Amino acid sequence: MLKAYLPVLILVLVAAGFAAFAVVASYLLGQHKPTRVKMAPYECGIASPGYGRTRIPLRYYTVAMLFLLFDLEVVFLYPWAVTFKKLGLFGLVEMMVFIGILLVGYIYVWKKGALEWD
Amino acid sequence: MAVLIAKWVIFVITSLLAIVSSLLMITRRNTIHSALFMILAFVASAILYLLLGCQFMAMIQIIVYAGAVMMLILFVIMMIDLSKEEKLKMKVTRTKIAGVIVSVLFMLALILVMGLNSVKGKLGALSSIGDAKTIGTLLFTKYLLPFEVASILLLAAMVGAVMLSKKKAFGGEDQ
Repeated sequence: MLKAYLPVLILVLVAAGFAAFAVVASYLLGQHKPTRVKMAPYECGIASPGYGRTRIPLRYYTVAMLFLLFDLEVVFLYPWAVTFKKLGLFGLVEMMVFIGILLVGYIYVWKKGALEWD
Repeated sequence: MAVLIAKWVIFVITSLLAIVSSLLMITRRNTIHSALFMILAFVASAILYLLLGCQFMAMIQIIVYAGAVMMLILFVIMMIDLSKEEKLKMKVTRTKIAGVIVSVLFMLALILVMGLNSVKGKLGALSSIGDAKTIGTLLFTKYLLPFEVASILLLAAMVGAVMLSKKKAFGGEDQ
């Protein structure tokens, strides 16, 4: 069973190796002449004002919380999708009930304006 | 034999990775660095689940913990201002000493209760129900009611999340 994960392991090793190679090679082969401007965090060409770690509004957290809940819905969809053929129509109805209940929550969230930004 | 050795090597590497990244996570002064080490710890434990034969748990560990929960924690870090705390020097206070003593006692109690024999562990029952297919079959037949109840639990959590963060919708002051 674990043999099926061998390609995943190889992919992880190749990815980690490539990342490490890129960093180490550029460190060893490149020239190092750091100036203040060069070392500044670069985003899109405009000099960044202030400290990078300012406090962000609570709204982001609301979206994050709602995302977590719908992510948990996906967790249930995963074993369902794997066994979909075996369960047949019964499984479909079950999942529709499950999604239906969560859809009520989604409509509630929408109507209460939790997805609005103002 | 070769498979066993390979398994053992992967186990040793990932468990060391989990321990080291957990230690780095709680000792970093920069909270973003802690968060990154936490992802590493989650991924390492996902691999440990995989080695135990719990494929489904491993997937959940990555999707929910390393993905969604991690994002929640990152938003908490971004929401609070820690610039002062990050500059503080490590201080040994009485509370911290007491905390260390209590947690060591708690660990000893856990070891005593579980018994040193059971720490060795046996790979058996779990490995046969660990994959998504078996869990799916059980969840949508035998444990159908808990599954549907879970959706109501998620609904309640959704209402709670909106209630707590959108005071304006309930006639209060929004923040």
